[in-house]
Amino acid sequence: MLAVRELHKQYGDVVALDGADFVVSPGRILGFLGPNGAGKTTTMRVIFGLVYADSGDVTWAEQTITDAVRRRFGYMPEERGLYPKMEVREQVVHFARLSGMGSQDAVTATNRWLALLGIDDRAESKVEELSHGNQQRVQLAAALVHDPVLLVLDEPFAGLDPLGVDALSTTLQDLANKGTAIVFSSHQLDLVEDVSQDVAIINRGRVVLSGALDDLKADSTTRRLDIVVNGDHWVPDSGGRVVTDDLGRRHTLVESDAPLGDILAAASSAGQVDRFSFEPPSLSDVFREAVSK
Amino acid sequence: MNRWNQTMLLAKREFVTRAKSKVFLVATAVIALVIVAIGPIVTLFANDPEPIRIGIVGIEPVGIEEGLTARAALSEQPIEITRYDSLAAAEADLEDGTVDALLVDGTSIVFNEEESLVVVQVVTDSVNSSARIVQMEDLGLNPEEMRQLNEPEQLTVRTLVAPDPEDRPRRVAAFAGTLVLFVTILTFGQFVAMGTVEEKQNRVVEIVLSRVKPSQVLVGKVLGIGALALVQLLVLAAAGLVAVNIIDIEGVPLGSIGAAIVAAVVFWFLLGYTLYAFLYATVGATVSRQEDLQGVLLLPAIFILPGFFISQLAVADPDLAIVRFGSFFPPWTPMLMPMRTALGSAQPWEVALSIALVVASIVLLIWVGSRVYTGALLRTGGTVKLRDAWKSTGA
Repeated sequence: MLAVRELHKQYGDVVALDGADFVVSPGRILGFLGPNGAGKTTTMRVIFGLVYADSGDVTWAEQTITDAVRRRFGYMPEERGLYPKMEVREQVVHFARLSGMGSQDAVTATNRWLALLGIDDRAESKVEELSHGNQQRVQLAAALVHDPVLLVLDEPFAGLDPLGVDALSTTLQDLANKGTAIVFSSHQLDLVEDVSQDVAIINRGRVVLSGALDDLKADSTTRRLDIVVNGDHWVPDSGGRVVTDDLGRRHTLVESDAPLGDILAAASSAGQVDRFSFEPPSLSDVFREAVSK
Repeated sequence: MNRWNQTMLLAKREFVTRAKSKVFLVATAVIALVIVAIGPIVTLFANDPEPIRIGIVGIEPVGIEEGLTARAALSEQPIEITRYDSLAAAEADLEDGTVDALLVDGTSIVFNEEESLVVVQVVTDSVNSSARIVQMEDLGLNPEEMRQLNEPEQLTVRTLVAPDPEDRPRRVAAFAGTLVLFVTILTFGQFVAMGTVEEKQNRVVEIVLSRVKPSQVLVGKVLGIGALALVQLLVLAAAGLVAVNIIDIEGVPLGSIGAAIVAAVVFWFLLGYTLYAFLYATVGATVSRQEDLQGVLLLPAIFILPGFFISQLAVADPDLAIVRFGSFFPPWTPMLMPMRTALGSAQPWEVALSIALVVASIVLLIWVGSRVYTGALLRTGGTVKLRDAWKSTGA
């Protein structure tokens, strides 16, 4: 289990981390969410020792992370980068070897991953000759080739087409089923909702909410109220926050103890009620609620 | 997998990817061929002295051709004589260098731009001798008497100190060796800086650093590129040895002079390259894009250039104060000390002291360099100030 505890980091006057705190368990996928500049990348860099935190610590299996332990982690940074003039196989083998694999194992694992990710036919190509999507697959291969116990992916879905998203989701799910602990950051909340079991929401350097997705939704005091009267979205007078989702549909967020009977009565008197639903919030509702505090 | 194995993997990558580059292979082959070609070319010129080419116009002194030939033979130079009908035609040939000088009417010598004392002397003597022949004929001397009287007296020449035939070849070799050292350190030092910026610019550095320490990246890069430089240097040195073995100058053991210079160049390259490579890597880490590299490359250049220029002064006089003191200034030592050693101006203790100073500087630079490198490597966007990079690696 990876435990990130109370990380604080300041660059001059800029506070990058102000209490980043969450855990990632083997076999589970954690979606790491937050607005731009909230501290997601900095947190990931601290995990890999690329940035030193001013205070707080990161442990694996309750132990301070040593170089040997860290070599069993896999990382795909947000800033994608590979050696452009190196051939794909040569490059992935190089990273496998740097992670401590023997040369024969490194070649075997590289070939396996290149085949799994569908780029084995480009193994002899230079990376710079590959399409953007295929470069991203090489990147993923470099992060996965040594069968890491912990996989940290910074915006892995960014720039992927829907097929790529499906393929990556499946790959991550398979890895989790085999016991890998996975953290990935994303802006696409619906994607996170589909892929991950756990989430951590970070805002201004502080993790404001973390835990199992289902628990977070259930524990939320917010409910999602979706009322359509005479074909139009209808907002009760008693208030609530109107939210428009990515597809342009609108709903209202209210407290869980909202007077449903009164609201339904009011809606009925306003006209024909086409829809009346009162549900736990979606992840995006939880996210909005968390970062607006 | 310990740290050293990882570092060697990094070094191997640096070496292999560059050694596979066609540009590198072709450039190395071309330079080696040029060096080998120097051998036969030098031999051609060394064994075939330039002839003196004289044009004769107008009134021709009696027996001038025999006189010129006899006198040129004294300086072991052949002579070529061309006769012209008009001054204009002669001057035209003089201008485009077909002849070295003109003898006009037996009374004046004309050069194109620069006069040559040797030519003036040879021609003047010959003209005077011709004049004497005419006078002797007037006196009624027989040909045998005339020949005896007119034969130039050859004086013996000696020096107090025996001339060292090896001196000149040794200076040339020392000059060439220093030039190769300078160019190799500069070229491969820049490779180190460029390689560092490349990794930053295409962001691969973050993947690398998630597996190894910045200091390993630094050492791996310096080692890998250094090994490549050493291979190239040895290829060029082999070419140089082939060249000097082709050259045949009597009484000069060029082969052994060449071997000594090659050994010195390789030794001082190892020290000089290591010193500068860490400097180049450090400054390279402070920029994020190749375009910004030129600016920071000025810093190592400021150190290495004066050293090279002073080494050129040392070719003429290795005992100059600036050469002597400069050879103990570590950034200059790798160019000045081998020069002094080759020209016999350095005492063993001086060499030992200068090596110790360079090694101490390398140790210092690795320490400072790794810290700056670590602090600057993950910072992108613009140029990181050396001081900020130093500070940001506090933990």
